[in-house]
Amino acid sequence: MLTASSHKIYGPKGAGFLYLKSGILIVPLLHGGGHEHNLRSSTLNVPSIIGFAKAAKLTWQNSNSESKGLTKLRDKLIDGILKNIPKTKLNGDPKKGLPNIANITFSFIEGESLLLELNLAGIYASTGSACSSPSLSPSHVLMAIGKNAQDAHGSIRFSLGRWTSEEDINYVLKVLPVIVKRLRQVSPFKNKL
Amino acid sequence: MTNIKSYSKKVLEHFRNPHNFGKIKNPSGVGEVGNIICGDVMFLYIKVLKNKKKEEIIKDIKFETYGCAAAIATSSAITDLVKGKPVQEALKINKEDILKTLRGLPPIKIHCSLLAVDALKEAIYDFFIKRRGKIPKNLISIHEKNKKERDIVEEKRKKWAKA
Repeated sequence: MLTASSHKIYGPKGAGFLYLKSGILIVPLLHGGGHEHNLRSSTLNVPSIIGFAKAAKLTWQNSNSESKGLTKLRDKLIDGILKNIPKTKLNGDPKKGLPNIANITFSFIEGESLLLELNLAGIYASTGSACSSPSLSPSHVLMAIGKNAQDAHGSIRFSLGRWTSEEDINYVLKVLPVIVKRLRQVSPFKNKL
Repeated sequence: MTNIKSYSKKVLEHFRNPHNFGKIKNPSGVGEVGNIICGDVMFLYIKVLKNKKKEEIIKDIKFETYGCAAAIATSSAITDLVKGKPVQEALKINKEDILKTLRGLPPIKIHCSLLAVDALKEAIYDFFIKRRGKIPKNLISIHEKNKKERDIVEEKRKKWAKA
């Protein structure tokens, strides 16, 4: 089985597809009119389906050049951060990682504070920090790849997209070191720098 | 993430421009507390001097905090409340006082204001120990509680490290 969501490739929200190998039986969640081979009863959302198909076509046509462009920008972001900000680490493989994502640990500071400052500067990212999750415990994924709790708290995920420009990356690289420096000044662990 | 809009202007002010952060050389007392819930850590340093009336006054106070925006803002706010106050009065400061100066905190962040209060009590406890004076009973019990919590945080960290 394989499922995919339309909005992940810039299609309209609310459409998705299911690929099902013949012979696999699944139980429908929605019953009624017997639409879609009795698997999902309910009137079809035609505009979203058409939009998803178009988005899939565009993604397929452009995937090579888009990946290349994103990889270049992502690498610029990663290199810029690792070079200019001490005690930072890339989480994940530098070559085999997805072209649109960079997850980075900023030691000695807590992710939510960093996120908030970025937010105020007009930059939107996400974090594995406990303070941002309802459970208040650190990201289990980062813990599983060997981060300690504190580093997991201080990790930020930057996502790039079709409309991310080189200027955007330059802006992040200009603003980020200042923010990290300021927050580290307040941290009790800064003397480990 | 806690939405930026859920923080008051006062919280953001303190977070972006914290007062009295850093260390004090030769402090009279140091308080270190860890938060059981989210792993935040706060250090509070106080310098106590006697005034002409022989009252013990907290002349200087500084903090170092590892934590979210609310943790940093509450740290900054408590230093403002405490600076220049007699030790006995500083002991009366509670989380409501902090919440009042910060114009409130989002419900999920209320525990951060307690962290600051506990750190202050710890610093004053440490000061009492160092000057070998009598320590109020309730301060001893607060210290015991903080110590226990610090151990739990330590345990939690070890558990997280293993998981």
